[in-house]
Amino acid sequence: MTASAKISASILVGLFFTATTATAAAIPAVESLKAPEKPLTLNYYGGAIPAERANKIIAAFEKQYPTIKISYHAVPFNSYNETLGARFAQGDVDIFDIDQPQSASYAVRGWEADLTDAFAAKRHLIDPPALKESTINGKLLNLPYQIGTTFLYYNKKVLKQIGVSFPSNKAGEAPTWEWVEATARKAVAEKAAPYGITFSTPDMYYYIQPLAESLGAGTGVKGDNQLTPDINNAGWVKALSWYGKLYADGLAPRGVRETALAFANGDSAFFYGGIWNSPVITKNASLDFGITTAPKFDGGRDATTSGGWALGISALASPEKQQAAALFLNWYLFGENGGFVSADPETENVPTTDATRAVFWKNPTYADPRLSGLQDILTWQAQHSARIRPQTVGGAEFTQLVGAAIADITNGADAKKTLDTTNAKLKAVWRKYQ
Amino acid sequence: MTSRAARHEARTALLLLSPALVLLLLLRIIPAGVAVVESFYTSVPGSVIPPKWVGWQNYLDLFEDPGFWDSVYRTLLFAGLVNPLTMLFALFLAWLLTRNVMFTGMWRTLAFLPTALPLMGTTVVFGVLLRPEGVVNNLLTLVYLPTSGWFTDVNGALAALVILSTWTAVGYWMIFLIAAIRDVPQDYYDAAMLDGAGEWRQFINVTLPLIQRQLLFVLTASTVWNFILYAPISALTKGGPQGSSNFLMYDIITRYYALSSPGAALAEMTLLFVLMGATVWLQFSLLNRMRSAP
Repeated sequence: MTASAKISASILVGLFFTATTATAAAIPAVESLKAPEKPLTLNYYGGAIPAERANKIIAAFEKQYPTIKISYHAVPFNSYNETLGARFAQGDVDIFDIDQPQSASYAVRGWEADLTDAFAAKRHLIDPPALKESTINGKLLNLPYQIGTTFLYYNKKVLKQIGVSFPSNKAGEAPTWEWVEATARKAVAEKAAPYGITFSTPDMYYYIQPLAESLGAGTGVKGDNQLTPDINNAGWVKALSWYGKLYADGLAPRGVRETALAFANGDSAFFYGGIWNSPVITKNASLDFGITTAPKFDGGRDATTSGGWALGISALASPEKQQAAALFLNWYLFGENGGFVSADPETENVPTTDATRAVFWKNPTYADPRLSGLQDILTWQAQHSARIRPQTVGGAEFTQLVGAAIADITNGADAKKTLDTTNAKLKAVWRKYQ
Repeated sequence: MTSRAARHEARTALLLLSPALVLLLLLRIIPAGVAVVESFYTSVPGSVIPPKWVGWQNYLDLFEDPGFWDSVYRTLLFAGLVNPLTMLFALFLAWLLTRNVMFTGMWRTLAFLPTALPLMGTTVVFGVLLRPEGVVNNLLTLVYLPTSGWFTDVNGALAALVILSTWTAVGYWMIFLIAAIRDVPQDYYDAAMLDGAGEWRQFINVTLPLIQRQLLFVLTASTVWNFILYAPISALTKGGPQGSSNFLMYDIITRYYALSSPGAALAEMTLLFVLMGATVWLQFSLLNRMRSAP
């Protein structure tokens, strides 16, 4: 048996193990579950929000379920997968936050309990793209509670100065990237702003995927098992060549990471970011800005980011703990009065159900008239244009290598050459899963 | 009697050294051994899937990976630039601050300050100073010197990391060399002066030969330190642009965690260990040759 065959065999064993573990630990429908009679403590490892906010949410849950105690452990985002891996190895994880694109990768590690039966009657309440991203091989493996969707902020003062009319704030009426580029070019040329456009995180796959998706280039991964890299197809090369040119032409700044702050300070005509950037931007009361649906390429399709944090239950926890954890997840997303949102009014990402959103939009920050149209735009995007990231067991490798490629392209590397190299690297690192 | 005394002394030494030896064994030698053994396995980190024995496959894969060789080249290039530069500056400062200059204590404190500051703090400050539109480039423009994209430029990133690493290390190594220079007996300088040797001659013919051992220590320790530099790269360049700062230590951690290949990462770590050993051995033998030269 060759080395790669041995590894493939081990992955297959792992998948089998995952499947059997999940079957053995199938959690019954939440409607049939009751709170334990004796007090029970669950360990919850999270990375989505600061500990004090998580503890407020937990306190609200514990009030309703006094026999279930939840001990929250905050994990830094930068070392999330490693830390969680170590905790799973120690066997003390019951509930965990999961960054949705890692769903398949966590599944192959045998961490996620199958939630299909537990939430069979309720999962239709979740937005379809979010639900799809949490479903692997037909099994619901985690409960998505927020969606990270990006849109376009524009500086009204700058656009007025260069004589360009404002884009629509109606949901679905997206401007084109070509228009954004031309306007940004004009703004910089006429010195109306130092930067034409800034991106929330310039070198993350997550933010750039919609560019290629708008050109119909797909996620950059293909094949039934989602292990064939396709990041160097014509669409991806075109999208990233265009993106790299923004930096080469000085329309977007190289090496600037505080891009939301740059827009908030009036230094950029456009900012491609999310609702989570709005507290920083609205803080500058004198900034005259508006928002519009995320752009698409001329003749291309609407494409926006998707995915966010979800909650998982450990496949390794005892059935008793899994059932208590399922009650927590049920309360979190489907609880009365918007579940977790009412306990955490600072939630800055759009939640994934109508009931939670109804509470979410009551946050006074979003009533800022400069964010007019926000609710409709985000709801429309979450339901119509959200493109999910690849559901691959090699998600961690993919995010790392494609992120590095995007960074190189923004710094002047040739898009075609860089994506060819990245595709080859992905093939090599994914060989262990083939 | 003598041998009994010697045995007694050896026993006492062993007893006194044993806590340090046990810690060395537990915290360094055993983990290093485990890492070498694991380099012959492949696994998915944190997974319930048991690791699989693959023999030399991880090493063979590395040898076939152009990215690995690029990483070796960039690491050696960095080491070749940063270590001599650190030595030279540390030696120059140590020499300068053992002269009779005014406010010596203050100058020494200032020179040591970058070392006393947390590395991440310095890293963040460098990140801000060396932005393409940052303070350093603005100052360079003011005096009509060419600017660089620094962390966004292939050559600029390497140069910036060399400057950052030298900046943070010079003060530390300077302290060792100040102590070494102060240990040189004044008689030698007096004798050299009687022979008509000026400052430069005294430095070359008296100071340098008499601080060779400390210089070797500084060079070796600095080399090892720079081979395992990680934090500034992780915070500022993430190995880029275009792999220009993807030094072996950073590549190892990326392979282990981000690329989910612990076996390959540990194989690379073993190779880094061999490379470090070879470099240090080379430094020792060169210095020995220098010492035995007439």
